[in-house]
Formats: sequence, C-alpha cells, structure tokens
Amino acid sequence: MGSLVRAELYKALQHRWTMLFLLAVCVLLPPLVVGNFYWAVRYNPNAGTAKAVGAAVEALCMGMGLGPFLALPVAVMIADDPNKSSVLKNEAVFGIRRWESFLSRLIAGALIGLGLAASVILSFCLTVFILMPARLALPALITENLPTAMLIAVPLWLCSGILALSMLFLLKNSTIAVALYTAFFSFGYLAAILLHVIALNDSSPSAQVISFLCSLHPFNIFWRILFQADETGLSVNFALFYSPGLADILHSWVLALGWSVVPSALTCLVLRHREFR
Amino acid sequence: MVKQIHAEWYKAVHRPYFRNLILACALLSAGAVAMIYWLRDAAAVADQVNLPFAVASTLFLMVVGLYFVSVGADLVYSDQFKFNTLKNEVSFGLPRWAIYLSRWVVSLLVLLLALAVLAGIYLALSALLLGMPSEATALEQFNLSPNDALVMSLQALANYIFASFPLWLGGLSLMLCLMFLIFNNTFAAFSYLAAVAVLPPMLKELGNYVDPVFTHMYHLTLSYPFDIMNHATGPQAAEHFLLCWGIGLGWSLVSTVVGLAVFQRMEIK
Repeated sequence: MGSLVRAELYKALQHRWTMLFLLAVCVLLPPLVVGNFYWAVRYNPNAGTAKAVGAAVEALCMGMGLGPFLALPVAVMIADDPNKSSVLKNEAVFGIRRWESFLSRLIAGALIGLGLAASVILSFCLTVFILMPARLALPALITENLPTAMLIAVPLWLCSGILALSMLFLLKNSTIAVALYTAFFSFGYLAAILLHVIALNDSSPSAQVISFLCSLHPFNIFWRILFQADETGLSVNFALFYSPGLADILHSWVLALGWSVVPSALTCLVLRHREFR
Repeated sequence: MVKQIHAEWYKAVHRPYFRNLILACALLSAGAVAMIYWLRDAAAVADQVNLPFAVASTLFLMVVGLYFVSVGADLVYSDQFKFNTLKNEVSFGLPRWAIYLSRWVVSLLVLLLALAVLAGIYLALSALLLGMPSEATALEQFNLSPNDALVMSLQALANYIFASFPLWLGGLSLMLCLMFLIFNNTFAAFSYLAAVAVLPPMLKELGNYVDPVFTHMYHLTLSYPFDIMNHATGPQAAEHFLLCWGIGLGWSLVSTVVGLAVFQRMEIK
C-alpha cells in the first residue's frame, strides 16, 4: 500500500502547473484576508489589539467552509489519466486488488489536500506575525479555537475529497462529474435550504423525510442555517466560531463517515465489476 | 461549412449523452415546478404561489445557464484530444477555423434546444399545476388583473432571457476556447468553472479591500450582470441590457478570436 500511495503521489504531482497554482492560491489568500483586517481597522482604535487578531482567526475558521471546493482540483489531479482504463488495467493485471487501487488514490488525495490545508494555516500564522501589532495574542487564540475547528472541518474535507474521487471514478464523463460536484456544493446546498424551509410549514411525514435528507448535506456543519430555521425566518449562523462543542464534533464525524463510506463502497463495488479493456 | 455543421449536429444528437441531457433538463424543470407546487401546499397564502409568480421567479434560475453551457459544449466537443479524432479532420484538409466554428454553432443549437425544453416544460407544468390567481389575490400581489399579471410575468421572462442570452453566449465561447486550448478536458471544465464562479467574487472582495481597480474588473465579468439583475428594473433596465450585451459579446469575441488564433498554430500530434 505504501508504494502504491507513493506512486499515486508521483503521478499526481506530475501536474506541476496545477499543483503550483493551488499552492499559490493557498499561500497567497491568507495574506489578503489578514491584510484586510489590518488595513480595514487601521483607523480604528482596535487595530493594534487582540480583537483584530481574533477577527482574523474567525475569518480563518470561516474559510474552512471552502475546503470542499479545494478538494475538487486535488481529486481531478489524482483521478486524471489520459487513458484512465489503461492504468487501472495495468494495476489489475499486475494483481493489485481493485479496492487497493482506489484506496491508494484516496490516501494520496488526502495527503495532498491536508498538505494544502496546512500551508493555508502556516501562511496565515506567518502573515499575522509579520503584519499585526498584537501578534503575541495569536498563540492563545489559535490554541483556543483551532483544534475544535479542525476536528470538525478536517473529516468533512476528507469526505468531500472522497466524494469527488468517487464521482470521477463512477462517471465516465469527467466534465459531468466536475459540474455535478460543484453544483452539489453550490446550488445543491441552496436547494436543500429552500426545501427545508418549505418543509417546515408542512407537517406530513414526507416533509419530515425531505427535511431529514436536507440536513445530511455536508455543508450543514459549517452553516447552522438548517438548525435555526423556524417560523420566524432563517438565521444564518456560522457554526465554527460560535463555540462549537462535543456534539458538533460528533455530528461532523458521523456525517463525514457516512459521506466517505457510502461513495467509496459504491465505487469499489462498481470497479470490481467493471471490465477494463 | 454548412456540411460540417450538419455533420457535427448529426454526431451530437446521435449520442446517448444528448438524450440523457434532454431528459435531465425535463426532470430539472419538473423538479423546480414540483418544489414550487409543494410550497403552494405549505404556504400561508396558497393563492399567491401561482403561474405569474412561478414565471417571475425564473429570475433566479438565469445564472444557472452560465454553468449549463459547459455541459452543452462538452456534449459537442467529445474529448477529441483524448481520442485523437482531431487529427483526422485536420489531415483531411478542413480549415481549422471551420472546425472550431462548426462546433461553436452546433453547441449553440444544442443549448437553444435545451433552453426550449427547460422553458417549455417549466411553463407547461406551472400552468397545469399552479394555475392562475383569483382577482383579489392578483390585485394584492401584482396590482393588476390576473391576465395582465400573466402578461407582465411573461414579458419579464422575455426580458430576463434577452439580458442573459449574451452572457450565456460569452460563457459558451469561453468554454469552447478553453476546451480547444487545454488538452485535458477535465481541467478545461474546471478552469471554466473557476473563471465563472470563483473569479468574480474574489475580484469583488479584492476590490472592496485592496484596490478599486479590482472592482472595475469585477464589473467586466460574466456573472456581474446576474448579480445586479435583481435591481435592473424600470429606467435602469435599458442600461442593464446594454451592459449584458456589451459584456457578453465582448467575452464571445475575445474568447473566439483567442481560441481560433491559438488553435490555428497548435500542433496536432
């Protein structure tokens, strides 16, 4: 498995330009965000205080909701293969089991994705230390907020990466897979919210079922919209910096487990029966 | 050129992908109407969820067209770098501009057909399931009689499509340009989605916080007119149409010229 993962990493990193682009985005975006807090509050007495750093850390936690969108190019790099059938064919003929092929790709994708996430956090910390006057407030804020936020966000990033890879394997046309994945996390989430709001006014069992299905969307961990929608209206509440607790962590892990296991099981099943010509 | 367009059209519509796409369009429209119908059942004032309301709500669906053009272009394009079919056409002696433009025309035709299916099924099902409002509701909701409200909403739909069409055209041209230029089809689709979905909000935020030049760039993107379409009513409508057509045609022209120029010199191995 180790050499399989190494081989997958090598193959993925051959997409040099894409990798460099993603790295550039991950490293250059935090300075822009931190710079915003620095300049925007420059004329504000709070600029030099720990409040500005706190706001920046909140922004970082908010940015964790964008993780699933970053998972897509990583998955595309991993699953991309000009002759997709042919590499899988070689692996199958060599004796590597189908689930091993898929699992090695999942692990490679997870490693690249986590590396990019780490680079975001590193770049953020460096920028805060360079720019902000109240830089010494950062370690305390980080140790207070980041572990819980990461415990909630990382499983969801991993499950969205697994979902992306599964879709790229299951669907023959990769453009459709990319379009569907993006639609699921953008329009799909809006549709889920809409359906949930409509279901609130309807007390029939089918409405309950639809409401439950809508609450299974991975984005519900980052945004507490569904949990606070009631007759008086929607309140948009970003979960990760409203002191998330153990219940949120458990919720996130269970949801992520479901969204990882079901697509990968389906993919392994389909790969098993697929004929590689 | 006409023969080429005919050939591309034949190729496109005889794929199972085409039939699945039309079916998916029909199901999507039906799903949207079903959602509105369900809202009607659950709404406090059920009569307000009626046919003119459904037609006027299509405003929010216009931006989906920008993403849908990627699927339409993908249908016609058929991964020719991967399967190396482009070599055949080029060695046969067909001019490169004809190869490029014939695909452009056929993508447009396929997308127009898809639009007809989407709009047609949406209107038909809305008329069937939702029906017209009563006199009192129409007066309360639209300040018009029911028939006038329907006419007004259909006019609004025509306005939305008239404003969105050049932007969709721009998106289609951009998508085809990227597909011809980037060998890997998946990365081409991905770059298109990034240009249409990720770039504009980023430019907007950069404009807010870093430098106003980014806001000017944001005003030139394809999704900006969709963001302000909500407010483009009354006297601002004409200005908005000009903006849409200017931006849409600009993007179409530039993408097509760049695509043609690079494709002309590309080495097809």
